[in-house]
Amino acid sequence: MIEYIYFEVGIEDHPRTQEFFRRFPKATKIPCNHYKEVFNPRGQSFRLQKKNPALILAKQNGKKIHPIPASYGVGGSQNFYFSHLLNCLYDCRYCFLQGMFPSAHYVLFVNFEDFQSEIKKKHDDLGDSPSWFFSGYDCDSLALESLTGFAQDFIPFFRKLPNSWLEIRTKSIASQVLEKTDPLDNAVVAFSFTPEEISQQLEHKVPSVQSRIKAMKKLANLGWKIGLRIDPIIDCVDFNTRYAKLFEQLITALPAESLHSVSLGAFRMPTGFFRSIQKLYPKEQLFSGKLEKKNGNIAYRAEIEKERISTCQSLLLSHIPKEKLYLCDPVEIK
Amino acid sequence: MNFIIALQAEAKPLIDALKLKKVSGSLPFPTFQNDNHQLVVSGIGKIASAGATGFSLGKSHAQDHPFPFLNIGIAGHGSLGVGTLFIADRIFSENHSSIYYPPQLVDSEIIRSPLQTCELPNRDYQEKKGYDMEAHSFYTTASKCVTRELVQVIKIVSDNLHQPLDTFNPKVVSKLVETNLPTILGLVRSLEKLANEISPDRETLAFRRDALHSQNFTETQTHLLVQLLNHSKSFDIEEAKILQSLKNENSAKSALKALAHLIEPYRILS
Repeated sequence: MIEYIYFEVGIEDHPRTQEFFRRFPKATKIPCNHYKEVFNPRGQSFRLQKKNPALILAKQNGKKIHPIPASYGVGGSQNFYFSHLLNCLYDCRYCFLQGMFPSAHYVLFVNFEDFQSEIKKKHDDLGDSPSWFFSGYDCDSLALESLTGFAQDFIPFFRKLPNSWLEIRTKSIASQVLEKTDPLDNAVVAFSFTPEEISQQLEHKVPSVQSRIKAMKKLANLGWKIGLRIDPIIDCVDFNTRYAKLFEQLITALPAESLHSVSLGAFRMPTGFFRSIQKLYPKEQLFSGKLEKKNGNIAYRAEIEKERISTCQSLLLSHIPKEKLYLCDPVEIK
Repeated sequence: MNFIIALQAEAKPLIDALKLKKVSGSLPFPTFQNDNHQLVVSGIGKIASAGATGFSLGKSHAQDHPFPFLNIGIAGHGSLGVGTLFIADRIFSENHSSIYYPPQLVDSEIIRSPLQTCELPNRDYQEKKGYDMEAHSFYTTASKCVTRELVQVIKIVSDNLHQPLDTFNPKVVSKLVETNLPTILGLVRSLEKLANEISPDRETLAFRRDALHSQNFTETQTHLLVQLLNHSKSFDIEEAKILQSLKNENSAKSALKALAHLIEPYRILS
């Protein structure tokens, strides 16, 4: 339920803004000159705001498409991300957004058309070279679909760009928008997972592992390509048993031909973000683990990280060909 | 909870309701308090309000516990009726570029309104907004030390187009506040509850104090100790065991080492 809508005065008349005003007639509407006046000030509590985030409607005037770190792709040579939305419905304790953003309010950039122009331009510039566009870096791509209409708008758009791939990364089971349309050949619906015991401790407000598997299976059976994102890998007791069980559940739920890729990434976070989140949740077990600072990130001690990734690789390679397995190396923060 | 209120007449109903006692001594602002509340009467205007807020911040130990700050007072308004209570959702000033948007997390029926802080009493009620003389500087000062969700401004309409300022009877100020007191106190309780969600509990603070007194820790060591104590809390390690391990050592350095060693086997997510 949205109780407060902040909106940039410059986009008050945008059709998408007006649609929000119609859908939430009881919400208090507060004008602002620029979304950063509301979103950016220091001295806000992400933790408190997460209880009841407001919606900020804004226009993204800056660069809309950004290159992703070199090791974060899933097979493409040209990889970009874009963020139509900042912040997430869910409240995963390992999520870097809590440390990166000063506010937990949702910022929705209503000018989808400008994002699409920039994607189209990139597509045209790259010619025959396939390019990838990742939509779930600063938000969950589907969790707020009923609010944003993102997939409903971008799937038909990408259908016209067969050489450009869209990754819809999510933990949501709100996949009706995908079920109602023909599968997009150049899209991957990428579900993120941790073992159920970890999910229950750290992934607050996220649907259970079982219900996500069910949603994923349904989409796979409808012909959608599925990605599995085991990222972040979380060190825990009974690590091998828990991850082995998870992989078994995931792989057996999917028809082999629908599995596009699996990517692995160890828990890591830029040091500054980590310190901020640690202040929000000082008694969180995750932040008291066997961690160390390396290359500007906080991550598991090298020997643990190596061992955990290696275990996951071995477990997965007993189910899938190595061509489908990708490893996200931490990015050095300078 | 800290209240910053311009006039004694505005403050009186709260002083009575919360049974606040006047703090004796030579203070820059009249100050009233009980165990959980502090009220400072600032006087009229931006400078007085900023000064009183700074004074109150200095006395409130906001570093240890995020006390809410509330500015209460009367205000003119372009559309609301006299006696109406409103909470400011946008605060701006004619001479400042900064605009504040106090995050609204408390579920309340209080009307929301923009509020403009003026240099002089306002007699022009053209727009649908409130007019006061303190809120902007109050917010500027309080939000430097207290998280913005806990810094709020509520006003009671004293004058509007139909009952302009020139006709206002100052004798009704207390009555205006008193009439809205139940709602104001409801908001106070909600803000205190919110503050408690992000405050360390009393037991944790007491335990931390005991741990800090176990050795002569430097500033850097104190920082490290607090971090280790948080870690120990996250794994529910017995407090007595922690304190004993600190006290058993003969230097702060070795105490920290011993504590880190004690926690090490626990450091894995269950």
